[in-house]
Amino acid sequence: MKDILKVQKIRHGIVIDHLPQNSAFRVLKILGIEKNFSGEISILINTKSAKYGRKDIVKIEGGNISEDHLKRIAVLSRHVTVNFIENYKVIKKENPTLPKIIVDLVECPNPQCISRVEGKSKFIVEGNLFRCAYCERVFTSDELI
Amino acid sequence: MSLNLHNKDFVSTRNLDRKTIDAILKESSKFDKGNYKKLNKTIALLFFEPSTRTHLSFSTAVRKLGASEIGFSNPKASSLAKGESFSDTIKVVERYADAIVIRHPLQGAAAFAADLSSVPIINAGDGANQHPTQAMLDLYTILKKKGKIDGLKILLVGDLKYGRTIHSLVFALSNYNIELSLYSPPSLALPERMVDELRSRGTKVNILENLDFSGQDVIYATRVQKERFADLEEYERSRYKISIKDADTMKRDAILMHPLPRIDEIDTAFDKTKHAAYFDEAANGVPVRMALLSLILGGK
Repeated sequence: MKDILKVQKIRHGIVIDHLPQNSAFRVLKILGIEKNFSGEISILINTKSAKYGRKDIVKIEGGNISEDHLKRIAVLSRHVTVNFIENYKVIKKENPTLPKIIVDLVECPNPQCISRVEGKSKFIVEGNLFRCAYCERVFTSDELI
Repeated sequence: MSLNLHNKDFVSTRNLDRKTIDAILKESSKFDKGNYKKLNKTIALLFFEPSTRTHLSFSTAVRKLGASEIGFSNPKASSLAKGESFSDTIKVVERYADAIVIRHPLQGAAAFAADLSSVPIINAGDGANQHPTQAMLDLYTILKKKGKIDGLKILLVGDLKYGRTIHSLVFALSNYNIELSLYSPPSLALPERMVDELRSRGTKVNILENLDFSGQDVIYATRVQKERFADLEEYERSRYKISIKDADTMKRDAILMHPLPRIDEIDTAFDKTKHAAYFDEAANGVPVRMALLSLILGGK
């Protein structure tokens, strides 16, 4: 049986693909469009993925994405692909990457960390974990975003 | 002598290697014997929270080295009371001093200052995170009392979750071939990720369900901090006391350590026994901190 297209293609905008399962709504939060967005957003949750078994996809008609947003999405997963669409065609693909040290991107979740008072943050990327360079606590991406 | 520490910050034991620690211990022994050079430097002691031993021993170390001391032990008597930020305080003091010693109630304060400062930062305790100079004097005490660190069985008792002396000590000890046993009230256990990290470094870690002193060469007790408990009943349930009767179950040459202040974790009857190492441990703060200041600020 042929695969059925579950969600329509978008004309102009972005498709954020290969998101970890159940992370689509966190992506909307990162992009700051979980509320009061007048554009069209399609979300697929726990859809089949040849590479990862299951994945989420977010399609935003008319949407765009900043460097800062890309890095924050990379905290969620290093496997994400962001497709930039124009006239229904993919004109560019980006795989958000993270440097070894991420500065002022996400807040340290430890309320007793000096970075919370001073308003600056710094994390050292250790595989899939993130160590605060100040309080030394280690966090998963789920705890950071 | 290792020169790894020259002009470097000393904020955590997590990444200290054995070579550096051994060099600090060797240098501490020289200072302990009165064999050292004077240090013509200005050292700032910025104590943003109260301290007795750490402040006094740093202050004594600075004076014995012939260096000059500036700073405060009561932040209410500084411009912080006027609302000056931590960052601004560091940026000002780095212009007056050759090194800055910091005690702060928030975790990461020393590492944060190290990012800002052009002069070396020495962590004298940052919240529940680290107290690396205490770890050095603890290792020096063990070495002095037992003649070695490798091969020892070491028991840590008390608040292992929030105890900064514990966090620094375990990572420093992970450079040695020791067997570590942990006993704490369930709510004050060493964080699981820290236990995993120690095991991944090859340290043997045993989690004890009962307080058992038998076979231990070093017993390191810490205070259960009342201020950590919202529920006073839970605090009462979490308290423990090492009674003089427990001495019967200890090895004859076991040493009993405590970073102090003790409330009632250790029976005062231990004070006159050969087990008691805690007052000597406090005294060792001076030569160890002298050695550290000299290694960091001394000539190459």
